[in-house]
Amino acid sequence: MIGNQDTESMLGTRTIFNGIHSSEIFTSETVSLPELGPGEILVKVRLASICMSDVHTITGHRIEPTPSVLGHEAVVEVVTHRRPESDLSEGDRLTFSVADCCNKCEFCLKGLNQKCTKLFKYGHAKLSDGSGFNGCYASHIILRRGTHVVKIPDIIPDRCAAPINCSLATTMCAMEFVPKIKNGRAFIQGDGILGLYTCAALRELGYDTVYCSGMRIRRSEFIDRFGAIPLYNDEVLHEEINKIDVVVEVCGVSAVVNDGIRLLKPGGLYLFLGMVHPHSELNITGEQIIRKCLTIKGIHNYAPRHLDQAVDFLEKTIQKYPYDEVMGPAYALSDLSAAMKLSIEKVYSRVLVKPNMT
Amino acid sequence: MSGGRILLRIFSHGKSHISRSFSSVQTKSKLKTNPISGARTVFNGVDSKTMFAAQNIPLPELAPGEILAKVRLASICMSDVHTITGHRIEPTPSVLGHEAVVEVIDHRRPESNLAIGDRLTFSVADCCGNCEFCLKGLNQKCVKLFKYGHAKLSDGSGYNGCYATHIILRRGTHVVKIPDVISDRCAAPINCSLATTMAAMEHVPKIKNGRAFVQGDGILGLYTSAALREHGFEKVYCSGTRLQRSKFIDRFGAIPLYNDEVLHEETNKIDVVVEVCGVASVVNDGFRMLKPGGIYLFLGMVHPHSQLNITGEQIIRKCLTIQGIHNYAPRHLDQAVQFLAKTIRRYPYEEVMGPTYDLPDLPAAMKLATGKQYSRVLVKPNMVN
Repeated sequence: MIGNQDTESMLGTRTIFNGIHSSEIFTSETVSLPELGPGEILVKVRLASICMSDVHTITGHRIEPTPSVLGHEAVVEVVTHRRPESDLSEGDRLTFSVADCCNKCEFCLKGLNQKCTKLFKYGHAKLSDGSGFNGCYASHIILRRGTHVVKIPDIIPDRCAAPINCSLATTMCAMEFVPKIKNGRAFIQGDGILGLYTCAALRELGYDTVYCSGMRIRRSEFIDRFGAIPLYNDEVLHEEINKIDVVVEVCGVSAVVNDGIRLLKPGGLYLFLGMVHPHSELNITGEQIIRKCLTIKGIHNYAPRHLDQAVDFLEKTIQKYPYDEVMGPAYALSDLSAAMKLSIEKVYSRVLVKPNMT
Repeated sequence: MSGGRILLRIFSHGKSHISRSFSSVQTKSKLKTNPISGARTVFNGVDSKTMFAAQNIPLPELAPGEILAKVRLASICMSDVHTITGHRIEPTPSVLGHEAVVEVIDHRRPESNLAIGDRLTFSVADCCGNCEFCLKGLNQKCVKLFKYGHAKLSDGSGYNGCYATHIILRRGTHVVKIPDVISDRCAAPINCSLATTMAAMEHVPKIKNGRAFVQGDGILGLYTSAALREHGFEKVYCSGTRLQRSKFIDRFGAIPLYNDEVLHEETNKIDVVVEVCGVASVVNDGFRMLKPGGIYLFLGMVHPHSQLNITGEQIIRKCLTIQGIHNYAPRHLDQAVQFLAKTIRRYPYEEVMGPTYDLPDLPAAMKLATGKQYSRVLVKPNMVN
């Protein structure tokens, strides 16, 4: 069904981030929604979740273009669209790729769409770019023509669906490099949402023993329910030296890498996901990597196929793991600052924002 | 003791420094003596009075699966140079040397098609074939790993290295026949340098209009340049030091550069970077050049002074892969022989090799190898046809 609603008469509300040094960090505005261009989808934000990268932006650890609408993890609902060749209907619940890409540059063509030469990222774009309805801390988003979308099956509630398009899809991207190993052993360094999802994914792939470490001051109570053996990050697992097939860094702390290298068996794989910031100096030697014939793989964001895989994975395992229980409370859009503050505490895997009555 | 002073010790006595001893070895009762005697040059360690000692020892009888081979021509790998200059520690006493083309004298592999006189190359790693690592094709990390040229004299037959007239290849050692089209001079480095190159190439994707940067112009760098061109890579750069860059880089298919040149125009444009120089400081430049999704192969930095000065962010943001390559598996030996047979006329494999020394002149050969003037310096322990 091609939506032919006159969107010009519709209004949308968005919370604008002005930068940490401005007199008003967040301002709210209600403006008319622009008409859709070909290939675009107007969606209502049903439920957004606050990714740690946004927390880093508002605490000044990360620089993003401003002014902008932050927020890139959300489950959305189709209001109207201009994709006649698709099977989209008004009311469809969707997840969408954070990366809007061109699909024909060298990187898109080799399946590394997240490095598209014309990359646009929701929640990371200036207000003046395109429609300005570019982030999830808003009542609406306008999805651009190069944005891959996937319908959410009914069995997945909004609370579980929100983090699909950053956390879970990135996990699927990481899993693409993990070999199916008989009696596989893995070590996940970090117990945030990426860590928990990765534990589940490894167990589903057939890994026998999965460890997951968190900090002593604040470790997730859900590690074991995501299929892993809980550890503390200062515990040295002597018995697993040279015995781990896959180590996954999802904590953003470069100091863990030495321990990871020590744990890996010859031919093992180290996935780096969390250290996406400059204070990530590695204290390792080339010799360590060579002598054990190690593979180190950097994972940043994901490609469209990983979004499909994420939805399939979640649908298949929704009853098996406590996806709902790890989520925190939902805040109204006007309470975004309070929601951000709670996120900083890292008490919950994710804090939610509900911009609309849905 | 510094490398320089050790060199002085080895070479100060002139050409024939190896002390000769004719030991009366007490053979163990289970090893019957063989009428053939072999000569081997034993390395006693950098701090010993006699660093190299020659021995003439009867060759033991072969056990099941073993091959008695005559060393036709050995080449001096840089790792041996590092051992005798004290930069690398290996068990002693031992017979060094692990790169060689050999010839079958006798064997106990009835199921094979080996014949007396066959020229062979052989895997440096003798492995068990059934541990976890062998079974996943990472035989070089076998739990029962034995490496020729890296083993104590007391391990097995003691004829464990190539600086000897003979070598006894153990039952877990993969061997490959050398086609006639490959001369001894070209064949000698197959079983370390070229096979390791093949192990590295296993991780290199076939990329249309691929661009590569090889950091280092030693034998590994030259072989890798050729292998990348044969793999279809359009543009291969190869860098060497200003002091002493190989004159053969272009003839191995690569564009010669100096290691201090910064190739700005290739920032974010290189598909594959290969570190084959052993110097950790080149890695930052390699990261700069790699395009998103690119791959970095590490081969050379097999020593502790290889501290990397990189961040996790650099690896993550460009979705890079770093792959460590150490030694190789049996299949890579086969691939090496096939590769060399196929490309023997295309690249100057013979011309990059240096002069040949007799076994008693090993110290002089080592000295020349240390100078890095040639890709390889050769040692010929026997009179061969």
